[in-house]
Amino acid sequence: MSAERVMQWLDPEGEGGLSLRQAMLLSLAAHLVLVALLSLTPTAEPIFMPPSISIDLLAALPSPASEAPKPVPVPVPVAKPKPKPKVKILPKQAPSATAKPRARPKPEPIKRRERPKEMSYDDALAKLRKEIGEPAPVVAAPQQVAKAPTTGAPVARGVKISPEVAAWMLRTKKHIRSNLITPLEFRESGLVAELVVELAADGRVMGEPELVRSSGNPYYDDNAKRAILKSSPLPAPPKAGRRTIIFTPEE
Amino acid sequence: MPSHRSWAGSDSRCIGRAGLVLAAALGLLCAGSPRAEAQDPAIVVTPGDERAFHAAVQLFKDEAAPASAERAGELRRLIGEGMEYSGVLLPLADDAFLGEMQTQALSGRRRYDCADWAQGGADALVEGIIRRKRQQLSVEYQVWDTARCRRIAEGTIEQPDSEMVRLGRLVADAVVKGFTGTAGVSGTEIAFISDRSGEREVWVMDADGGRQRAATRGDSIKSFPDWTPDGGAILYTSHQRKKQPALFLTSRGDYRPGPILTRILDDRPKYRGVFDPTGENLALVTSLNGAAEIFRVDRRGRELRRLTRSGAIDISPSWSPDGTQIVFISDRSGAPQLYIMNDEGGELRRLSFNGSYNTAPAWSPDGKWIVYETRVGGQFDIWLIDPSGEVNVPLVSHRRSDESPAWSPDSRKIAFSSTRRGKADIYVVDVNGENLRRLTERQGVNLQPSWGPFAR
Repeated sequence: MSAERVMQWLDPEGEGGLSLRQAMLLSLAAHLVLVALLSLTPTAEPIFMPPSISIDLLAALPSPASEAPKPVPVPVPVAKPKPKPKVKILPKQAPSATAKPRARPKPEPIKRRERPKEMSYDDALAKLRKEIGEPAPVVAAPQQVAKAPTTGAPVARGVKISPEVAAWMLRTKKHIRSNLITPLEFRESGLVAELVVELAADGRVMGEPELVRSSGNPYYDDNAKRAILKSSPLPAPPKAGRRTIIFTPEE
Repeated sequence: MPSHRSWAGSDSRCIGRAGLVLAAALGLLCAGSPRAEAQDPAIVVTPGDERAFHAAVQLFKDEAAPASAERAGELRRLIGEGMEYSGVLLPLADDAFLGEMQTQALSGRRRYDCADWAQGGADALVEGIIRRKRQQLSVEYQVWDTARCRRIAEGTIEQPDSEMVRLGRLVADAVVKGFTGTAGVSGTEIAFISDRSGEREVWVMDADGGRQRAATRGDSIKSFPDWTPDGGAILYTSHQRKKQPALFLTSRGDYRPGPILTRILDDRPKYRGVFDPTGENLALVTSLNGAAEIFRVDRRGRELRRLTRSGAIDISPSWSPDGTQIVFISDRSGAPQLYIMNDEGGELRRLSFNGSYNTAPAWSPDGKWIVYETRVGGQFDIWLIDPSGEVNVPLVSHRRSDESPAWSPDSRKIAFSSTRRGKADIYVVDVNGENLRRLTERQGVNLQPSWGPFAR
């Protein structure tokens, strides 16, 4: 039944007009259908986020303690002539794994309203990154991917946060990172410092960040505090209060 | 116990605020760490591109007699150069100064203008006063972290007027230590072999290539310089005509210069000696039955112990920083390769399996890497391998040879010799392959750098 036909029905001067009782019944039926359609329409799902979102791992000298678990012998090209860069910088990185374009599905002839698929963490993260203009992470070459540090950090999968909070977290990480200076010796694996900051509603860092887990290197810990304080004010948080920030050289 | 109360409070707060659905996950969070808000995931921050802090170096207040209009400015310039050499700190440009350009007085326990300095982009503020004590220049300095508004380094350094460069470098290295815990190396020295004066002699220069001067003079050919760990002397091999190669010390302090280990193996050539990290023992390369072997001996010539017994050529020893292991070169497999043994000659293992000719290994002072040269085609490149042998990567590559790598004491830089501009010169490069710079300027052949210890 088209909308145009419904309009005709309700037009008392139109051709083929209906009685008041019929019009009322039709109106009731139309409202029932509308309510039914609205009740079937999916509501916005909260985005499922893991407890932490990581920023891309940059090129750094691979640390022996954290290198690939298997030996990665790099062959010395003896016989064949090789290109001669003046100085090689290590390690090389692979192209972004997230840059792969997705195949676009063919448009169907009949538009059908479908329940949107549940947004995965990666998709949500990619969407948020796109929104705040942050580049997608670059994934290191397989032979140079460092082991995840065994930090003993608590893991709490299944914590749901709103897209608003997720977006704020990404903006905040980007902001702190822009103020984080990391000399070579602070890029070693295993250096993980965890701090708690008290944030005002406007993003100001109240007092000095509290070190709740030391990296074991007091200079690294101080550098993390320095980066947070230099970043104040942070982007205004959705809610004032205490937040945990972890500094680590690797994902 | 306060800590117990704190944990209990944290738990109850978490559970009280959490819904039933999330209770289990939040419980994990609260049990593992006193996090701020259990339901708030942590923000994880990884390193960005920035590797250097900016330091505002003031003109130090000059109270030394006789008065000098240039002294404070000269010292400020030298401190800035020293920081730049380290690569960890860069001097803040004058037009970015939002505070006093000159030190009026050293700050007490508190500064009130940290925010101004931070606003101008200064991560650090360096202030100081120049005085004269005992006929020397005495510089008292303080380093402030502007973000935290804390004093992170302070001290007094005394040097003769003639050592103004060294004075500036030592202050710069102390500022670096305040930020990273490891001092800078702008005040260190590099020994090397040069024939610019005729024979090959031992020469010494500042780490940036300045003040190049001869440390030996004679009619013999010298090779393989090696610093004592305290920087008081340099060990080297002297090759005199019609004589066996022998080991000598050249000293500028507490060591007696001249030949050493004369009472042992006196009928055999001593090709090379390398001090262990304590300076009490040496790894000694000599010849037995036509093959080079490695011995260990204390510096007075006692407790001689043979470490290698392969019958092949075993040379180029380098100690691990804890002195318990030695990496060396052996051709026992048919080609020169890297091997590691303990300081008794046991627990032998082959380290390198790539390349047909690997030599000149040097163990980094932080123990994480061994740098060595490997033949690629007709020339040598410099590679890094970790002591487990799992990671083996190129560091410096050129169509001409790069040879004889040596570590800076902070493990951030590597000196080496290269023929990339014709005759061999000494170069320095950061351990990540960046900041290549040449230290010697084609004055003769310059070889075999050996980096001295931290300046004192």
